[in-house]
Amino acid sequence: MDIAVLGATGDVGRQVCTQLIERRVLPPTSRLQLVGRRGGASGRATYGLRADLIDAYDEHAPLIDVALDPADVVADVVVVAAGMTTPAAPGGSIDRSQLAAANHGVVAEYARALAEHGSGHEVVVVVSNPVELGVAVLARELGRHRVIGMGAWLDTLRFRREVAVSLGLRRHRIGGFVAGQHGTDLVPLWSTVRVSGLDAGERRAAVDGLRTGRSLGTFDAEVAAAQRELLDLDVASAYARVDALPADLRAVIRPWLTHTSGAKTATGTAGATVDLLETVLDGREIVVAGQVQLAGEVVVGGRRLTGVLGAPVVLGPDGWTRVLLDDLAADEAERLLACADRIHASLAPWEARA
Amino acid sequence: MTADEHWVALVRGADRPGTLTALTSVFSSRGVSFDSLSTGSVDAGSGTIAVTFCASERRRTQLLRTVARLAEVRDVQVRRADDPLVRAAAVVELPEGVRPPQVSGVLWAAGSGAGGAALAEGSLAAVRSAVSAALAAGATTTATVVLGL
Repeated sequence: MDIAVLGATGDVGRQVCTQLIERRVLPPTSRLQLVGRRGGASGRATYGLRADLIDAYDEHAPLIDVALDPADVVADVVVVAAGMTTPAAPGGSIDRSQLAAANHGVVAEYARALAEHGSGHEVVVVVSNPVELGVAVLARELGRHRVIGMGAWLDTLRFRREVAVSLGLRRHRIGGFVAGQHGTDLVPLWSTVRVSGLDAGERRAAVDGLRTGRSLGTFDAEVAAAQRELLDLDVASAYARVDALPADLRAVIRPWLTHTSGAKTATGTAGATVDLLETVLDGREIVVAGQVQLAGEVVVGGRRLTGVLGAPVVLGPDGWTRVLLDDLAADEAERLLACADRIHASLAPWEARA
Repeated sequence: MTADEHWVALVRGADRPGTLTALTSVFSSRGVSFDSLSTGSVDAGSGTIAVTFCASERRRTQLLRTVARLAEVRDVQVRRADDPLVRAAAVVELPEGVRPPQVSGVLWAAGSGAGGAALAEGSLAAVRSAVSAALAAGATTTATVVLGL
């Protein structure tokens, strides 16, 4: 199986390529295609990245190929990491609609090229933000089941880690998912949390202890308050303050702080992406969370959901299949529906142009 | 579902270790078997590898787009195996007294008499027919190579 990484020389793209080789996800007989833009800085850097990766990993590197034209993208799995990101500086932010305006054209061009020249079977993992827009654009061109956004999986891993930290465990002992929109508009699904070694009663007690009576009804206000507070602190103090926040808030605030610290979150983002790629490549089906284009196959709070939304899904070698959003708590359902409305509103201008 | 067809690909690749492995990995990792594989002469650092295989038109396109991305590969051409432009040659070892079977479109080289080694040349489809006829007549050893597209 071959993987193409669009935007291979960006912070995340480069990390994805490195981890794919470092973790030996791709054997030496597979091909890793580094995709850049002809004429731009990335075009030159893509050749340099190829040389650097071979320099580092010659003993077990896959075949590494450079492509500078969307029509030349040839792979079984395509990672979309192209486009711009939010500025990594304290207080640095860019409106999601600005980000969408900047990245829509890039994603749309690759989507059209894959639809025209592709095999019709590629699985596409969207990393570029807004991930919901990327999923919508690619799903329209390629078919919705072949396209998954990795934002909800990254949010899920962060949530699991924060829950694990609070319970004094490592992340792999924690199950559970995050749904909704990637970033501050995520929906932590506390009802899905599982703790290895705890029975249902013990788990309920543990989760109740972590939630301390809070509901998701105040989540947005808590996120905004935490961000305001942290902006006035030096970085070391800010991280110390984050450690004192509830687990679900930490899942949002810690990566936000990491990004604005200037370090960015490329390593964690790439790690979560490579997790999904491993799943697609090894032929198993497992439950992950991802942004997917729904078509009414799931009902939440009495409403049949359509449009792009982060949700737990079954992911396998041909893309995602079932959505698993059963028996949500009332506050989870309420926040998820509101989140779905916000995503729908943000995508509406782009859907109208399609 | 699209029916599988037989194809011939002529791959021009670098004359260096790993070229054949890279080519065959593209096919084997996708579960596609070669009907035949032969290598041609090496010239100016590159050589030709002719492969025949069976796949749908869609898979053929994807296989050869993937082959074309290999660093070792300079050029890829493909045609249907029954295309008259696909030229081939075959050697058969005929039993004593058996003459080369006459098949339309196949030329037998001078000296290809009754019994012994005989060399046939023509379109791949015609040469394959001649080889089948030779086998039916008792030929013991055959070899077919694609000459060009």
